[in-house]
Amino acid sequence: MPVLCHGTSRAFASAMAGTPASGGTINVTWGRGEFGRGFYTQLSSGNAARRGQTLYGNNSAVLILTIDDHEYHAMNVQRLTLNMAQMLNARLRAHNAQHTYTTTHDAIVGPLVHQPRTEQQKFQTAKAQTLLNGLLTQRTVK
Amino acid sequence: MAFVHSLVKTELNGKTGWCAPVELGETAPHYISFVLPLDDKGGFYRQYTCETVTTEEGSKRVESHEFVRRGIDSFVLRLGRLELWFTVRTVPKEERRLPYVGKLGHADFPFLFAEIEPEEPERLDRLYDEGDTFVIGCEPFTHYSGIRRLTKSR
Repeated sequence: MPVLCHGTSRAFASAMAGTPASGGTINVTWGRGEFGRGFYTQLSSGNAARRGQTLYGNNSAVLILTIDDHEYHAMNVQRLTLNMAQMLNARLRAHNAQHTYTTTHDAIVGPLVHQPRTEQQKFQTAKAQTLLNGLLTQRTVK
Repeated sequence: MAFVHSLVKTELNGKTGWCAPVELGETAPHYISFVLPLDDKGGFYRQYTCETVTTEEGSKRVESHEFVRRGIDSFVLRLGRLELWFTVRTVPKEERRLPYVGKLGHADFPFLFAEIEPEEPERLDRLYDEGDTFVIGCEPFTHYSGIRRLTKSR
């Protein structure tokens, strides 16, 4: 099962994790980054922890998402090579569109432009949001 | 002793350089670079201080370690028996040495910085997954002046 990490504040991480009964509160319209608007995760737990610490100090945490394999791979995902990721990021920066750009795919997956050995995922549709916040995703805060 | 730092490359007021992620807030990228300050001749120091953060029972423990130069462009961080190697990142010439362009304070910030990267990033992930420890370099909320004012103003 894919295990994805998001470094942020403990308050944000706990709120997004929610409870199994009520579900999570991840909102795919809030985040921004190299692939445009969306909720970002990455495979590197160390990177995520460091990002959280540099932003929030001792109030930081890592939200860890363990997603049902079948549901994750059933999503409509756009996969980017490093070259595609670099070109998209450059285009979004040039047009100041990092906070607006989306596609019809549930997620865009590709390398971190500045650390290509690490994969990042950007979730961007209501369907993806429902999966991340639902019972088929285990959300833990570390 | 100079520190290893965790900074992000950015452009502020038309000037390319490094700033602390906290200066960008949640818009900070998801990869934070490791960078080293250079001496006044543009060379690396023989040794730096590098901090790690360990989470334990709801609190965090920051520890200092030696980060030692080995050869021309390699450095090693020893955490007990574990050795983590870093190398100078290959980048275009104009990006090899960049200044800090943010507004926070630290004794290293007047100097130019060069980026390094872990040789085996998956070992840093394993350190966090199995030992709850990650490499931060210089813990910003402990060492950077002006950071409390910055976060309070948000």
